[in-house]
Amino acid sequence: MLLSAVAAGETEALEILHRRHAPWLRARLRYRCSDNDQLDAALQETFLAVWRNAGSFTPRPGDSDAGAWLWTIAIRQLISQLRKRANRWIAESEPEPYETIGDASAEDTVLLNIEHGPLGAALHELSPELRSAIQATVLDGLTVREAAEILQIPEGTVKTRVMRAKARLREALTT
Amino acid sequence: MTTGTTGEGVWTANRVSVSGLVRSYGTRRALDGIDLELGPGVTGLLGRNGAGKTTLMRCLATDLEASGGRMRVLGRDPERSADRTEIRRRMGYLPQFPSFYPHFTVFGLLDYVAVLKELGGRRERHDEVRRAMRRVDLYDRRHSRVRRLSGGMRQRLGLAAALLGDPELLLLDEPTIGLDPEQRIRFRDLVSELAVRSTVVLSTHQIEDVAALCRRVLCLDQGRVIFDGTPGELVARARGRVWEQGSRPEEGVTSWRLADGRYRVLVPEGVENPDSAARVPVEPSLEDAYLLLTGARSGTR
Amino acid sequence: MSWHLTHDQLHRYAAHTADDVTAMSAEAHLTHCAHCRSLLPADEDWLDRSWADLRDVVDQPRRGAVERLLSAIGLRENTAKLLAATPQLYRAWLGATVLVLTMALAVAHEVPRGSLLFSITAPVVPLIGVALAYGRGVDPAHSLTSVTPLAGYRLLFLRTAAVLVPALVLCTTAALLMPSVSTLSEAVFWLLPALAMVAGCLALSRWMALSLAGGGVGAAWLLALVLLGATDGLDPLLLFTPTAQASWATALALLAGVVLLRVRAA
Repeated sequence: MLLSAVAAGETEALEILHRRHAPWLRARLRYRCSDNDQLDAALQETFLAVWRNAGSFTPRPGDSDAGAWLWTIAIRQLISQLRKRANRWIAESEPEPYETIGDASAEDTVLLNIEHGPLGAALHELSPELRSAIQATVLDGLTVREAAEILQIPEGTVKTRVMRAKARLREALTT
Repeated sequence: MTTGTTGEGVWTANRVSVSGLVRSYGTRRALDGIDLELGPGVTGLLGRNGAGKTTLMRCLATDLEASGGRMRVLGRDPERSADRTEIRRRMGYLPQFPSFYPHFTVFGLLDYVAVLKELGGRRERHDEVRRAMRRVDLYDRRHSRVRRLSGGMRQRLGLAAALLGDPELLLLDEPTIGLDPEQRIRFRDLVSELAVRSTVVLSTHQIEDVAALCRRVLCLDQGRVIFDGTPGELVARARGRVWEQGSRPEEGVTSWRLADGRYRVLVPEGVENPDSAARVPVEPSLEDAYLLLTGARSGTR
Repeated sequence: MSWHLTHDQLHRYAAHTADDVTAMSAEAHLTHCAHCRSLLPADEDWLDRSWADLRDVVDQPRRGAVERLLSAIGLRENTAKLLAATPQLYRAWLGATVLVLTMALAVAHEVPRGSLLFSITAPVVPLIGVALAYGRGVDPAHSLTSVTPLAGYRLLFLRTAAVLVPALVLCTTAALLMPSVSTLSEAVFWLLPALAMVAGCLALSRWMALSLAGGGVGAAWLLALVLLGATDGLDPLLLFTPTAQASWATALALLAGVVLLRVRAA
């Protein structure tokens, strides 16, 4: 497997991994950050983290490859880039225990077919603020604190928006 | 010395121009009045051990100072310090027996040489080192320590060091020692590719390399140039002087026994060519021609 | 995967023109679908650049402990690399120096007049190091590096510095541990002769290999010691009297001048 070759220190394997995954990760990060420099820095850090930690990858049930794993690294690297830019003078604080909202994996399966299912229509109905709150917490699997950072709103606001969005969606799906 | 200016800078028509070059060691003259002009392409330097090949290479490489005569390398005078540094920037040199720090890795050693060659910032320097390692097929061994490399690999490492910085003048002193036949083919391929842009001087005992690569041959003997021309011209000189016969020939000629039991005979100029019915004239090879040339000057071996 | 993104969806997503909901859908799908990821249009130039940036971080020549240490104390990357790349003889010299100075110290503490051993060895420690630091015969990579633009004086002086700094530190430390020494000025009686001999060696290297020059100067030192020791009424320690120190200082100034002139002229 590619990642075990990366873990063994083969730069050729890392090159293949980079070629396969950098384009979509970049496209996806671009929907979350418009500064190309920060984006490229986050991607570079992502692959460096992979280079150092490839051995620790263990696929979750249902993962066909490292895609989901890479994305969780990439989005967290982006947040840490944004944090660096925003609070250069504040020392990195200890990460708090992750507090996620809802069961991401269960909702993933619904999201997989957004376009074609009733959820698509429901999402269309949501305001952009509520939609981005759902996107950050459910689709990107971020903690409340991380979502607050990337959306640049207080944590309390994230929580209320997610609750409101979920209520709207549930309503739309049950009626 | 003719120089002209093209779009990107000064282009030197004759990359090397030497006249009356003398280099003495004590009372012995290793180089005794060398004249030569070298343009682009590969020039082969032939000659027996002690003929002065390595001394000439080291003089051209600015490693040795001339004892007399005039030299211009890439349009510069190696005796002047600033010129010498400029020559060194644009020249690559593979010494006869290159040796290295055994505890260095391939990448580390070439990076060290690249620093000494003043190649750019870290990033550009590493890219240049990678390019050189790829060219000599050592990229996969880049993190191996030098002491773990085979003889052929070390030779390629020396070649990679010479190639760093894309030199205009490439001086290779016996570069194919230790290479296996496949590597030699690859080496020839690489050198012909380089020779499109650069001037390459190849000092060697491998006549096949000269036949395959060189548009021009220089033969040295006792510190003098005894032949300067194309391989074809060297062969033409030997025509009519190479024979094959069934019995061992008399003294006074160079000969050796062939696999089929016949003898190949080289009859030097000035030696009467006895007309024998048993002899068959054959087309000389470059090696025959070279042996005749050097043998003619210092008797038979 | 039962369905795939259409060509159109992929292009709009990659071009950043997909609407929010389509983008969310595409993202949820791409996370798990290698097929659609491979069809996503990519900016090849950017990809190559990005890989080159990444490669230069993950694939570098291995740096030794010495080089890392030199970088850590603030030397420029190139200088650290050049200083760290020393012939193995240099390491042997460093080891031997520590050994000899330890022995000299032990002798000085145990034997009457034992400090003489330190007095005659300390001045040649830097000289030997310099003689082994550069040039054909002592540096295996010399034939490869001697015709590079940075070779010659710059490399020679760099290597000399790489010898002088540890040599002076080691000798001063040893001198301070000597039984008879109480002040720093008493501890550095060997310094001027040592520097003068190094300068002499560098000056001589114009005409001969550095190792040979070092050998010559070292032999002269030995000869002077033997002559002073063998002659009645004289003593090797005369080489360190204030008058002698003044001569050493003069010699050092003159020889340093010669070396500098040579560098200017070269």
